[in-house]
Amino acid sequence: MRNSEIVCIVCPKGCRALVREKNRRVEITGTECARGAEYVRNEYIEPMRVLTTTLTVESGGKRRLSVRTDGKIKKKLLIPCVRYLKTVKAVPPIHMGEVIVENMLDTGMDLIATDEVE
Amino acid sequence: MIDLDLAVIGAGPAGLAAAVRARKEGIRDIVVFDRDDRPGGILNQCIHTGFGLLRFDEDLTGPEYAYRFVTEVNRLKVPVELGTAVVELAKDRILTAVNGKKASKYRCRAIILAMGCRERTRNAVMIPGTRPAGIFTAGKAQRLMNIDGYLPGKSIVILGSGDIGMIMARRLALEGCEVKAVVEKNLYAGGLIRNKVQCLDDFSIPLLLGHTVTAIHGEYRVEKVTICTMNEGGEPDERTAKDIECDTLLLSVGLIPENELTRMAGIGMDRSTGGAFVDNILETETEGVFSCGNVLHVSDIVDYVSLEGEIAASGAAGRIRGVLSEKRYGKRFVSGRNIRQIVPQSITQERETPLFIRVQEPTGPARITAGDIARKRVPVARPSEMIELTIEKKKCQKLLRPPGEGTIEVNCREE
Ligand SMILES: Cc1cc2nc3c(=O)[nH]c(=O)nc-3n(C[C@H](O)[C@H](O)[C@H](O)COP(=O)(O)OP(=O)(O)OC[C@H]3O[C@@H](n4cnc5c(N)ncnc54)[C@H](O)[C@@H]3O)c2cc1C
Ligand code: SF4
Repeated sequence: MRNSEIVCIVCPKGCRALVREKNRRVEITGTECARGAEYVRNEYIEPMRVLTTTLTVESGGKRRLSVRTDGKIKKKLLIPCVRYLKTVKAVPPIHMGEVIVENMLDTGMDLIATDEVE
Repeated sequence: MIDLDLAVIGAGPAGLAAAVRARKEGIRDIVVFDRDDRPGGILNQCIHTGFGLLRFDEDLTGPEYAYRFVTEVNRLKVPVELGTAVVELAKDRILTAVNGKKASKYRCRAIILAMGCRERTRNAVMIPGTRPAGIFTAGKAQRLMNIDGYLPGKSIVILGSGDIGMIMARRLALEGCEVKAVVEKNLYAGGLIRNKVQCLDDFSIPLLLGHTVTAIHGEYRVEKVTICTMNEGGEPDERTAKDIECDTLLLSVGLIPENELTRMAGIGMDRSTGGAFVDNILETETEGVFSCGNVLHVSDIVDYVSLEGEIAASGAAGRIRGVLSEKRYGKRFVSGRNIRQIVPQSITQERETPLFIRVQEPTGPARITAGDIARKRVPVARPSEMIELTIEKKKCQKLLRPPGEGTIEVNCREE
């Protein structure tokens, strides 16, 4: 049996949910709506996040290019992805939304530019 | 002297939204001034997501949000003078703009102030101790990392749990720095809950509530800081002093609207917001001068900033075309129970009016009311989260007929 507390962040109310796991059944208390319960369940089973960071730019006046994943990736992959991205250089010209790394580290998500470099 | 219909000072989200709207309302002769070398303001360094949820129903990064407005400004061919600072604003709507080459004077029919805000610095919070390297404001550190590509340090303490401080905690943790603690003097986090969860909890960064930094040590570089708990009188309790080793201290202790120009022009200010006193078209007490975005009051959500830019631009367009009634005093809002600030501070025009309200103290479920003209229930109210309360056009009409002065009390009552 595992117990954990998760704060729901779906709306500003910020309910504190308690998750209990017994014989592979997940029981959630403390949420006040279905959307919140759904969030807490996912957050318990596999928390997902969008990664935002910057890359080195190979040449040109601008030193950093801001990037993000095109959707949520597993939270536990955030740090491995950032480590991997230290080896990646962005080569201008780069357009807004352009894919820089396809299916980054098999997360199923692309890394895209969130800025332009000429 | 150059004659101009509309000058917009600042090309952040407030100024850009204002320029787009003014052009769409048919104002041809517009110039936007910004001292920076690119438009977008503070958004360019905010590479995290969390922008545009209300306006676009999308979770964008700062640069992506700015890009949408920059594209519009370019499409509508509104001139943006970059690398150009406005250094003087006179009472009669004459401004002086300076770039590397020359100073120019403009006589404007309307002016929109959209200069944003700046961070409170260490002097403003007066921490005793040495003055070594390694002390930054959180926003300065954000710019160093995200735009210039420098890491401010390796082991970090952050003073203040505002959104910028928490976002920087995550940014530094992701880059492999050790974030030792976020120290907050209040008993609640200063920023959004989302940021507390995703920036601190995700990386097991301790949030020390009811604590403050009382001393900074180190000869050349920060070596450690002393922290204390706060006693009930709101003073640090020296008996609880404890040192934390670190090489960097980030300050996220608040933002101040950048109103030097506003004061120079003798425009009336509101002490509770640190911005100008405005009516419901965001016109200051000086006819033809408007204020919007963080220079008016610090906003946590950029979507509201853009909305304010648009309201100010419609007002300015009305002034330029001469269709607005003469400037007069209308009904003023006054802070009642648990209200810290209200923008706009008065109603003079008959139009739908969003009120932006901040409470003094956090509460559970509460009812927010503006006299008997608007009310709203909220599940919680926190000082860090602005509450929007819309007053219908019909109610504004009723309020202003017959014209005359008067006050409307705004209250937040816990239920
Ligand atoms: C670190 C951080 C994180 C944030 N996170 C979020 C978030 O997740 N979601 C969200 O919705 N909002 C967020 N915000 C808030 C949002 O970014 C701001 O409210 C918004 O950018 C303010 O816009 P503005 O146009 O008023 O000011 P700014 O963006 O500051 O723009 C002001 C512009 O005016 C120029 N200027 C100033 N003075 C002069 C002068 N005298 N002459 C010429 N130019 C001048 C400046 O160079 C600047 O470009 C965040 C803010 C910060 C700082
Ligand atoms: S559980 Fe529902 S009410 Fe509670 S914070 Fe989550 S979304 Fe809001």
